[in-house]
Amino acid sequence: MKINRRDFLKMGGGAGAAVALGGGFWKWSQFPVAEKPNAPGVEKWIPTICGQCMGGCGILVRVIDGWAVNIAGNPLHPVNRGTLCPKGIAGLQGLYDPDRIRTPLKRIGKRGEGQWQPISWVEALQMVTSSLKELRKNGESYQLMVLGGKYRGLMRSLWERFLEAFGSPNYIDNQFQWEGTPTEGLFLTQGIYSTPAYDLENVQYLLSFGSELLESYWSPVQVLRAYGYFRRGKPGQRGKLVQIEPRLSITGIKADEWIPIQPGAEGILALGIAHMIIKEGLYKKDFASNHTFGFEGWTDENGKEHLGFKEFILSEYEPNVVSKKTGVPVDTVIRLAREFATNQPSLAIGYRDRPFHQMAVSVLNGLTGSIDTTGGILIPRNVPYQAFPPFKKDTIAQKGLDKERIDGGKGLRRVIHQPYLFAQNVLSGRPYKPKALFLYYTNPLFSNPKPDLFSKAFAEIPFIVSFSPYMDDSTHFADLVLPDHTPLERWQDDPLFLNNGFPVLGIRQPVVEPLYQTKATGDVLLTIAKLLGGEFRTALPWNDFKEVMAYGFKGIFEAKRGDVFGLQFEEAWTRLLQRGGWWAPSYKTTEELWKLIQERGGWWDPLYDFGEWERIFQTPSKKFEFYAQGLKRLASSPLSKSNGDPSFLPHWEEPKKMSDEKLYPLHLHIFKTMAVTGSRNANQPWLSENFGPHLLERWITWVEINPHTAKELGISEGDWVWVESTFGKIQAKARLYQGAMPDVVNIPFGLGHASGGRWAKDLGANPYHLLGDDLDPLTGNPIQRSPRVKIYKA
Amino acid sequence: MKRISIYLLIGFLLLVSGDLIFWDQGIGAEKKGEYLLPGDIKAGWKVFTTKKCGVCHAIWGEGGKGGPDLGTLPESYVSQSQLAALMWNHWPEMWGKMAAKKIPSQKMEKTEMADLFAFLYFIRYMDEPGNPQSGKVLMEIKHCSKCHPIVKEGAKGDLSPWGMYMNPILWAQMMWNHVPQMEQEMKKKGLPLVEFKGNEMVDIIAYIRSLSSKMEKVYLSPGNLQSGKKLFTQKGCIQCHLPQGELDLSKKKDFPRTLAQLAGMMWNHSYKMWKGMKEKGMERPTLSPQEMADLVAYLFSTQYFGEPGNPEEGKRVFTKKQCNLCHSKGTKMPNLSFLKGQISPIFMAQTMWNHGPEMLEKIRKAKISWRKIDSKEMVDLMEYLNRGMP
Repeated sequence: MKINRRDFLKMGGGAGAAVALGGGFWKWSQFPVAEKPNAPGVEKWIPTICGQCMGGCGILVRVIDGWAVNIAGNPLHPVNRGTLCPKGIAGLQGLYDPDRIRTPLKRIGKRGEGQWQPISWVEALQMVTSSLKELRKNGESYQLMVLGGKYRGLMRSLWERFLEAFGSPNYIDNQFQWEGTPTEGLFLTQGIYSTPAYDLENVQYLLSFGSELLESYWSPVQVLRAYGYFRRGKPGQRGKLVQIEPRLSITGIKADEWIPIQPGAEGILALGIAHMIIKEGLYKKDFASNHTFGFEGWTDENGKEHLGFKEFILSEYEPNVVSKKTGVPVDTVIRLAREFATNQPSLAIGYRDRPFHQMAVSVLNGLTGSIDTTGGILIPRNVPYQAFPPFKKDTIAQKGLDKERIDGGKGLRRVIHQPYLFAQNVLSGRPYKPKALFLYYTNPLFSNPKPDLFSKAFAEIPFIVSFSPYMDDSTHFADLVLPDHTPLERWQDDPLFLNNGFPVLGIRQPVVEPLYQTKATGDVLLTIAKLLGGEFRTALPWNDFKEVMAYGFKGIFEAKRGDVFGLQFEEAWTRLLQRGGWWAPSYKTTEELWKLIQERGGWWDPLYDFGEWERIFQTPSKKFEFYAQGLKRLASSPLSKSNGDPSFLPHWEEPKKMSDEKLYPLHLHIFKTMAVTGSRNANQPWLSENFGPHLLERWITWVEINPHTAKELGISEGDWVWVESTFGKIQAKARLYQGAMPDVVNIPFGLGHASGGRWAKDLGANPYHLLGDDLDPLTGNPIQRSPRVKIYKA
Repeated sequence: MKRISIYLLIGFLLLVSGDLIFWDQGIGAEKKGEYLLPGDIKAGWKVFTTKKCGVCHAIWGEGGKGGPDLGTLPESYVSQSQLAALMWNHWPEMWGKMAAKKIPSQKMEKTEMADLFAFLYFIRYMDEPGNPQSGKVLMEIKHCSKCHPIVKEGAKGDLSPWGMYMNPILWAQMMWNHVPQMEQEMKKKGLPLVEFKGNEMVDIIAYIRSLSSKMEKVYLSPGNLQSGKKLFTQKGCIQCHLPQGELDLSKKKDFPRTLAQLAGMMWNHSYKMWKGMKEKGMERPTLSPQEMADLVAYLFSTQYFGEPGNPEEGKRVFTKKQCNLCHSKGTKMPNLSFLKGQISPIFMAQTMWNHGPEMLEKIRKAKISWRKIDSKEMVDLMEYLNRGMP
């Protein structure tokens, strides 16, 4: 039976479609009439975690007679308190996608031809195990590599443990570089390479440098709830939001003020604001003297004098200089500085810009002391898992682990993963080529600029295994597919944190029996470990991933803090008790904890410990670093134009000119929408239906053009146009948008898959194809807002 | 008149057991049960939240700012009757503020009021956050820094590891066990004996916590009153602190009202106690943290007495406060003699809360002012009403 989009829509986009979608509907409808009782089915609501994005919302899945038919928010889960975003509501479509991979697949044609043979799990595991045994037998264990996407929890620990026992240093994050909040700014100033918490509820003045807060934040429901509180939750104190970005986004529309700026110039504006704060003496002096390093000039242990941030910023970033680069008037720069410094608590938040531009935004928070304070940047404690038991590495493993990682893996690169460099190094064969590649929760052929770089790199790897439940762009090039369960079919832990820094552990549990012959990747890894034998048995002693979770959760009990999820008054109750030194949880044993976590959806610790500076500042100076001393120690090669002091201070670098500005007169700005944030959900019709609600666009890729610019180019509303850069061209529908700057065009990211089933394949276009490889020397990622394009009618 | 003995349950005890625990000795038969309204502290917090008390009242700074922070420690111990009186005096103003903020007046069940009482007691039993700066000064004044200088973490005398202990009971326990060693060192160094008053210990604890940059935190599970009572005997405390004896702790007027104050008291008391124990030939008992928690639960439970009321005085109060204008035989309002044997502070608070706005309106119409009442008057009035207004 074939079903096209029109048929699907006829079936009803309402609640009934949740049942009607995909295999679920067909299976249900195949029941003989006599066996369909009129009596109501057995209904259950099962708490679990939404798997549609990284938000970590708690959901309740309505299950009738074993079929998941509806999804609602879990009111006990502190991330979303019963509410959901469009992605969460559409969650059943991932489960019932009719094009899901239903059984292990073995490639039978050439790579990328899409010819597959379904095989049994026994055969599939045999294939993997033989390949892995061969690698170890030949002393090539290090040539196994895993590209991992964005996920959280013990699954990552399990992968690392597996590679540790196997003998490979090659776990590389390919976490869709622009997804999530900026992390490099925090790394440079506070020595922490992870996402911080922004205490948005309690901010009085929020200065957003291109952060897509209200449309594609990493935890959309949480941020929208916070936004409501920020605006109306404190009587008489309506928080102010200023949005600085090249496009009038949803965040810009909702903000008190939108400040249009040239793409990529946000960082220099932040430095101009810092200049004025310092010049007018508006910075928090006690914080600067007690908790920061490098604000003033300093002398190192060898007696060498170094430039301080204050002197550097005062000399380099005068408002008139900044105004010329950004297009923002001098008066506005001065006003923003005054407003930011005098409306406390204030918070500056950026996007995943170049590291030193992120640092420029971060230092604004350092200047106002908005670190580890209410309404500021908070560093959440980790969820206290029990550590995996020790094991003895065998000689092969030890030798393999001593090797350099393929993407570099020394000094700084040990901390920062560089998938783009991985692809380049595979092609060059330096330091070596991998012989087996595992793809887990990632789709590098879609989510990186220059996908041909990755497809060429893939061609150099003899054995590629994908664990994806869907036939995505990268899985399409695999040799073997071991399909994972979808999130509604598997056990998984989900540690995260709230805006106020409280650690939260959500639990994902199967709400239905697996629909197809799929297996949870955690279980598969443990099975492979058993088949490999030897030290693997002590390194990975568990029978399935649920056991891994139960083991890790013992640490939660032992930590003697927090409690399982409860109603809102219980949150304050737990906090109140802990502030008094008491711990009185709802459970008395680990078994009770495990049971209650399943019933309520998770555990959390609703208290933030302020003033634990060892946790807050993990830099060499144990302070907030205006001068990135930690980076200087780690960096083995120049990270900037020079390796002088300004290279380690927040500064702004003009993007390299990749093309002739006369031939390519427009800046390209790529943005994300709420429905398809990143590369995950394009296979879900409801979300493609809601791809661009502000312009009522769906199923296609459009380009937003300023009406005046469009007129000059002879382009009318709704025309199909080519958008072309020196690296490629894509077709998009022209939409005239007043929120587009005259010299900037905006294209949404999310569609344009070469694979992914009937609802994703060949729909829309991927704007990443327009990007080049002007790589940032620190992250190895292409520089986001540097490309220029031209537009003409198709 | 029999003495009314109300032992409000200590919060942590209730948290553990969830039971309704009370001290029932010496309770008048006619009032039995009514004065012993059990309170569940957690449920009290729920009442506090759901009845929107938190819109105006903060607890330790968390909540509204329109009314006083109810987590701050009152100047002196507040009995249940005092609390009922405070509420009575406070309500007309509060109702006005509630009306201004459009917070609807919600009726309260008797159990809800009991829970609220339990919560308000419990919250004041915990310490307010101390002042690290004052603590630093105290470390010098009290000569603590002579043995415990500010040194590198991990060095001898470094107190920062203690910063992980979040509950003052843990401090009390450690100090208790550590006293003999400290005493020897102080003698050796010729340091004078020092005492901790008021919130000094809270400030010192806050200071030491501020020294610790470690992330580890140690909390304590709530104590058990019954276990504490047994320990009181087993550890030999009862040998000196016999109930009704000279050193009966329940009669100690300056008994600490918070846990950190208790830690201070145990330190202050230690010299005298060791001496007394030696004289009696007793072994020096050591206490584990949980034993200390249990013992403290028991000791605090002995402090929550209400003073006995005087019915004759209560009759005068009834007239003086002009209750008789509405509530007497022959008036339209209910004759309160039917309340005989039913009155307790919680009952009073609950009835007044539910009935108050209507009463206030009638009082205003009758052009009578709202008469404030003090705690002694409240106790006497309750006793008078409990006896059926003889």
